[in-house]
Amino acid sequence: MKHSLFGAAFALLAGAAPALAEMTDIRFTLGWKTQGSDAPFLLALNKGYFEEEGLNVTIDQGEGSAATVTRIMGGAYDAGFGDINAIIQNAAARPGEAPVMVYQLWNRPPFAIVTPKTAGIESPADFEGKTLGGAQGTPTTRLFPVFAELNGIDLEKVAQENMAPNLQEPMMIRGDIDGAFVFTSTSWFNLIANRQDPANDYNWFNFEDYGMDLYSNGLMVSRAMLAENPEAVAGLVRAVNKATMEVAANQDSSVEAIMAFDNLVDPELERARLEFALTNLMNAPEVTEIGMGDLVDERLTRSIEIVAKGYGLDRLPEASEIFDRSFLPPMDTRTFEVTLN
Amino acid sequence: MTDSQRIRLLSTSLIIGFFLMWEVLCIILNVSDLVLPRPSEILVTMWTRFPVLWPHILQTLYSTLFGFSLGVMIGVTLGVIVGTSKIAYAVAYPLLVGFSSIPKVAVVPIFVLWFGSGTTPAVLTAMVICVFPIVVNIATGLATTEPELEDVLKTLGASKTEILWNVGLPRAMPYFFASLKVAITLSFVGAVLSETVASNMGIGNVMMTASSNFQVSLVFAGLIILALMGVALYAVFSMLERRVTGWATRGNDIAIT
Amino acid sequence: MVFGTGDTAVTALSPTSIRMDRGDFLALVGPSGCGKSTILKLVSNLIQPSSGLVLVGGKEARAKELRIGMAFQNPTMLPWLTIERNIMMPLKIVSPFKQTYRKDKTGAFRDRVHALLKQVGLQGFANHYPWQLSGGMLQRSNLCRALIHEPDLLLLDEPFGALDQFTREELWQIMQDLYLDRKPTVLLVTHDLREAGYLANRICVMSARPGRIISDEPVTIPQPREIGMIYSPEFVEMTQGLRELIAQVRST
Repeated sequence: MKHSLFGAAFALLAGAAPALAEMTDIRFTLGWKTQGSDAPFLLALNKGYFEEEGLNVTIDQGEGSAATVTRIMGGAYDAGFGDINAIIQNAAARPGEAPVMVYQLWNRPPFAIVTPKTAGIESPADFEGKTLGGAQGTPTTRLFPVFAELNGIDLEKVAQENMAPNLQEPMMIRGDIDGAFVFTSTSWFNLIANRQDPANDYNWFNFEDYGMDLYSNGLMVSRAMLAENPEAVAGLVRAVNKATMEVAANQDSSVEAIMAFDNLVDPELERARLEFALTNLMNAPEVTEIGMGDLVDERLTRSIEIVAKGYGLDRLPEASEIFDRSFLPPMDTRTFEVTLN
Repeated sequence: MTDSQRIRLLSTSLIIGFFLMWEVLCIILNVSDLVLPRPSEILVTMWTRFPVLWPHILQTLYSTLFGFSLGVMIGVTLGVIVGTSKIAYAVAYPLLVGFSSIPKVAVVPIFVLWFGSGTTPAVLTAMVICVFPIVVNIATGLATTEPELEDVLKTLGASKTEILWNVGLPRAMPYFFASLKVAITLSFVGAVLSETVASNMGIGNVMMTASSNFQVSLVFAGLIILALMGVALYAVFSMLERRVTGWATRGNDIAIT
Repeated sequence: MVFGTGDTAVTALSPTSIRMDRGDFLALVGPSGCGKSTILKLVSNLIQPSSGLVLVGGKEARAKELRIGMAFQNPTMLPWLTIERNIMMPLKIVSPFKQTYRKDKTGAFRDRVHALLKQVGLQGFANHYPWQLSGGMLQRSNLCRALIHEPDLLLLDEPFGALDQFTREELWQIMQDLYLDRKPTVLLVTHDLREAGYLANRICVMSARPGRIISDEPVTIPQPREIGMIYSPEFVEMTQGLRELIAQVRST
């Protein structure tokens, strides 16, 4: 009895082995703890799109959209979902080492300053004399000096406090700070979880409305992967693209995939967050023109200048160092149409 | 009622009393459940979400025990080397102290950078954090072995290894087992710490996710589960210590736990 | 057998040699600090001579071909083992027993232990732990442990010094029984002259530090000896003679 079981197991493994041997292992990092907006990747994983492309992808939760870049540069990860502005920052200091964006997902930036209406901040000038809270190192916080310059705010007159990201909303509610440097897709829902009404009781200063039309999160891969296995990169992009189209058309399968990956999150909340991301971060007139995944070089070059200023970079990387469109599937497969259901 | 029964009753009453007071204070002071949930709410959360929490509990337990085992093996080996050789003692000790002084919070991100998030850094952190107490205890146990005990075997012509095996190590066992209680707790802390920084599974991860989403009741449920796990692990090794080294602690009859 | 000893750093011992025949029971007495215990430690290889060699039976004591059994004043049982396992310990270390230890520890070796325990009056205590036994009982176990591996030479370093008079007399009798039964070669170091007279068939007296042998006389009283005879006139005369000799030596 034991003999034949063992033999069967062995045969199964032996049969499976050649198939597995052809699969490329890819270690992938998200940009934060599991969020609804991660749906494209989680759906691709759940539905086997990665496997179809011969890719064995393991997805780990992340520590921040900028941390994705450092995780990939450190070598522990081959690919991830992270912020293009962090690529710009690292490419300036380390040309040739920073990862490269190969499929842009968030066309519009989530960077914003949120303030409760009770703080009385109606326009940028009102920031002077107030206290704003932010987590050190996060893009919104670091780009505030640029925001201030573009909008005529005297930085000296704005007090800034450092705090962990998930303390920002409670402190704002308590009145310890007058406003916070946040990601819209995260903060909106944090406020709801704290029983606030983000639409009616809060003012949102989205950076894109105030002269900073930066790009944001997308799929990036390591330089090593680009050099050694471009077919895998192409396969990764194809799988993610397929999933993204599906996510836009129907969110039920997305929520399923998210829960399958992490059963701790609240499905309703993440669905709402996904819808928010689809509407406010991924959808844009530009995307209708060029298709999902691509971006406009001239706008990217402008972003590079904004980031260089804000972060005090030594040199301006070329757009081609930051984004590579050669892996994008044909445009007719990248038609982005959002249907919320 | 016997003494030990009375003590047990008192200690249970204290614990229940603590939770009752917590519940009552929350109600009276109208504390928001976003700030401090009531024990009854936490209990409900734990109960309803237990199937979801169970795999995470197992993951934390696994990382803890795996890291702990590795830590013990390395700790015993280093401890024997350091405890039996004066040169090794003088040479290795400063380095060991240096390493152990580094707060492990600082070390976890480095492990994550090298190995990615998940089980590997958790196991490594658990391992690294518990090595030092074991080394120190074994080395001390060996170094303080009464020469008279060793003489018994020396007169028979025993080799150094035979003396170590028959006298040194058994003599060091009480120290070793005492350090195990401490080490398992440290490993547990290390594993959870790593999980809170970077992982997809484990109670540490549960707490971080719950915290990010402001599911405060779940955060506290996680806390209580951690406390229970910590106590259980300590108790297991305490019992083990008593069984194996009863010969050394006879006369110190500390009842319970 | 012949041995020669060298000096130690404190010049505890002058070059000395003592002759023993197989089956001899030699008692070594002398003022305190004369180096009696040092001789034992040199022979049993617990300490090294600072100069010269320790030869036992023509061979260096280090060579480990000499099988030694040793009992100190402090019985020093290993507290984590039962009395049985404690007594069996030499069989774990010494060849040829150690080769078959694993197999015999529950068989032939156990029987040996039990036989010895019986001889010293401790049958039934094999599975006790050292902390459960009195000082006298532990010392009896100590003697068993010193004899279990059939040593060529049994060294006793004031083994009964920590015991009260009655227990001591009891143990003397047990020692005599063991000796007469098994006839080991014994070197007993003691400061108790009656003990020496009762047990030994030869008594050596050492001078004060640096010690050397100044007298070596046989004990003519036939064995086995009754314990009562330690109060007999001829015994008392013998011990008094020894006492005077030692007193002289102490003052020089």
